[in-house]
Amino acid sequence: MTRKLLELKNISYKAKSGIHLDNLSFDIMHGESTLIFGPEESGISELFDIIIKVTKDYEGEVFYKDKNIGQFRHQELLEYKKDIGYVHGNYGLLSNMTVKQNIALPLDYHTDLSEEEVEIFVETVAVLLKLTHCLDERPFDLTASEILRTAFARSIVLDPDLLYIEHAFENHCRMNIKVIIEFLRERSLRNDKSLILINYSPENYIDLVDKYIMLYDGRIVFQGTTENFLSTDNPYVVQYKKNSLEGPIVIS
Amino acid sequence: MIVKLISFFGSRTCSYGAAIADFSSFIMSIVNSFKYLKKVRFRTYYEVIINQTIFTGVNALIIVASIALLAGGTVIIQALTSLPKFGVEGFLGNLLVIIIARELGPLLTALIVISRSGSAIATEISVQKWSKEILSMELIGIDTRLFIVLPRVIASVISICGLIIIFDIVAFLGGYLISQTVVYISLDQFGQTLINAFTFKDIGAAFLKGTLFGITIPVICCYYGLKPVSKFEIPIYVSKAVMRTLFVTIILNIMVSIMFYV
Amino acid sequence: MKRLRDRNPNEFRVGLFILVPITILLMFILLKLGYSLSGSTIDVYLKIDNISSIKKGTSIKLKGYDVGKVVDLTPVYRPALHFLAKMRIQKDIELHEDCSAIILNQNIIGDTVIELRNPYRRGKPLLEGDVIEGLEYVNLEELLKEVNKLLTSVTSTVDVLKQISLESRSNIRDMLANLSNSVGAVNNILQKSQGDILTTLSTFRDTSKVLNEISKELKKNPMKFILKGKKEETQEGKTK
Repeated sequence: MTRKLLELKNISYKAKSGIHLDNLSFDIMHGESTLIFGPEESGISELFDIIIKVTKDYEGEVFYKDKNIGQFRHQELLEYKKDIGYVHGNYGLLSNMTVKQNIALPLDYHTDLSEEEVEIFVETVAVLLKLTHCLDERPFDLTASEILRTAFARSIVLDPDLLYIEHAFENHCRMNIKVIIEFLRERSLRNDKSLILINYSPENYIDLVDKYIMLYDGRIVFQGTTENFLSTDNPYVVQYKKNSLEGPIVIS
Repeated sequence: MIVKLISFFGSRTCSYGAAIADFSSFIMSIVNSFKYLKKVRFRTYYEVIINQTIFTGVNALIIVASIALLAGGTVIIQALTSLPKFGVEGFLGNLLVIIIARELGPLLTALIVISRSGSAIATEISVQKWSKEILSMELIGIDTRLFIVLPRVIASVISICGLIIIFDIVAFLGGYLISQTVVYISLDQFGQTLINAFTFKDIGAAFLKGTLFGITIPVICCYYGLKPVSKFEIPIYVSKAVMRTLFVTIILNIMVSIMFYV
Repeated sequence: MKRLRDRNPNEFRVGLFILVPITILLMFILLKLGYSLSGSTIDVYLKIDNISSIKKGTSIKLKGYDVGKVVDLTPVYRPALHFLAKMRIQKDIELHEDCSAIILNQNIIGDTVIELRNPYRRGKPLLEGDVIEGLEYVNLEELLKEVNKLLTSVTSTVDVLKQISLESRSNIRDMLANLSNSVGAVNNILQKSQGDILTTLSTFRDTSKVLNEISKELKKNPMKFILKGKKEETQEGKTK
């Protein structure tokens, strides 16, 4: 847990919507699971665009495994994206492909596994995430949690070093996505795999993550371990936990 | 008034210039992606190519064949009404080759493909973009420009070339059937006049047209499919995609014809 | 095949979709290059106006050498009734597109044959399905019939001419007779009027004499001449 996996240095960014990030810096270590939270428009949703270099109009530097992603060329950037598993609130399953094809897509595209090997791999993941019954169905035939599990399966088949889950667990019954939480818990025990979880309910994942970062108005207002998060008297965290409108956080 | 007119033309020119520059950068990004083509595993494209060929080529066969039959018949009807009756049998082959094989075959096939598949491609891609499927593909590390455009281009080239051949054959058959009502020509003789009228230049021109249409139709439709940033823009860009593709196709058709036959 | 089709129907359909046009194209190219799929013979058509002595099996010769035979005869109703004779000819015989076909009898009473003749200037080679045009149609019977017809018409023309000349001869004779009659009539008239003419002439002569005398008298004494008449009138009155 000593080496940095991802490092953001003095990131400043202003999105078209007016949301901005203000001189933001933090690190994610190898094997570290981090939960980033904050109210709407705090900048938590803009973070990923910068980390993945979807946008280039920012100041500061992002390092991944000690390499500056700003200097990545086309192919290096694709390799870098491949190294990050990403699940977002819209899931982004390819609607003209079956569940099996969706899960197999990264394997087909990036690995030299044979058709049979890919199939075995997909079925293993499907068993793990309880998707075996719907492997040949298309996304529009699935329930919300099945869609999430498929998207999650697709993001983990390449065994990425960093898993970035953004608002994916909201609007889901915890029972339906329990397999995912279990998987993440097991994964968090490994010291070479990291997780960034963006969520509005930080207290639900106390057993899963070991670091909390709170953003407000494009700044980091709290950063600490799970214990720190639980015991802190940081007014921002306290107000957030209480869901109160009174405090330093102003909701417009 | 004059100032308004000038500024109108100025703004139109600028917007066209900007659009052309944008399209060129899109093409350049695809061309750049081709450098990494050797790293791409063809099997991911395979399924898309098969599906696209089924949709663009195989499923269009009935409509292409019906239009071809009618087109061949129409050409012969017009020929027989304005040409002398005696000795026309030796000329029908030439006429069909000139009108159907050289011009109508590739152009009508392209028009059918644009109206069926071009609009479908533009809609599919814009919906995929809107539902963030393309973004999620990018985040898997897939080179989306190549992944979206290349299989569609391959499928389109295969489909259009195949459809052109089938269009020509069916149109010749239509022409033959209609000609039977006025002059008797045996099928052997008709086939022979057709073969005599055909040159390798015609086959080359038809294939060049097929390939060019097969490239331009999906590329332009993909370009416009990737344009919409919100749901309500989807129909606007789909309609633009179809109209621009039609225009470009007709221009290309004329250019190839001039190149080969003038 | 069925198993393959069932395993992945889409692949099967795409495969067919690619193979069928390619096959058509290849066939076209092969035919264009002059290959024939029918083997060692090619079928060409002969456009004829009258099938009179041609039948299935009529042999086709080139320089007297047997190169094939007629295998089929089909009538063509449009635009005017004519016939297409399908000739199956050995493929390795070199024939040209604008060769001529002459239908003739081997001898006066022998079978009809079709004699092919290559043109002096050799054009494109004759291909499967070509139609030979510019047919020279020579048929002895037909020719004899034609000649007979011609001779008959010539004879009839000569007859007509003879008749015309005979008819005109009598007419001329009549005309000449009429002419001599009219000359005789003129002579008669002249003879009859001869005496009258003489008396008329002598009367003229006398009148001129009297006039001469009168003129002389008038020159001598014009007054006497004027009064002479009055004197006579007075003398006449006196005598009354």
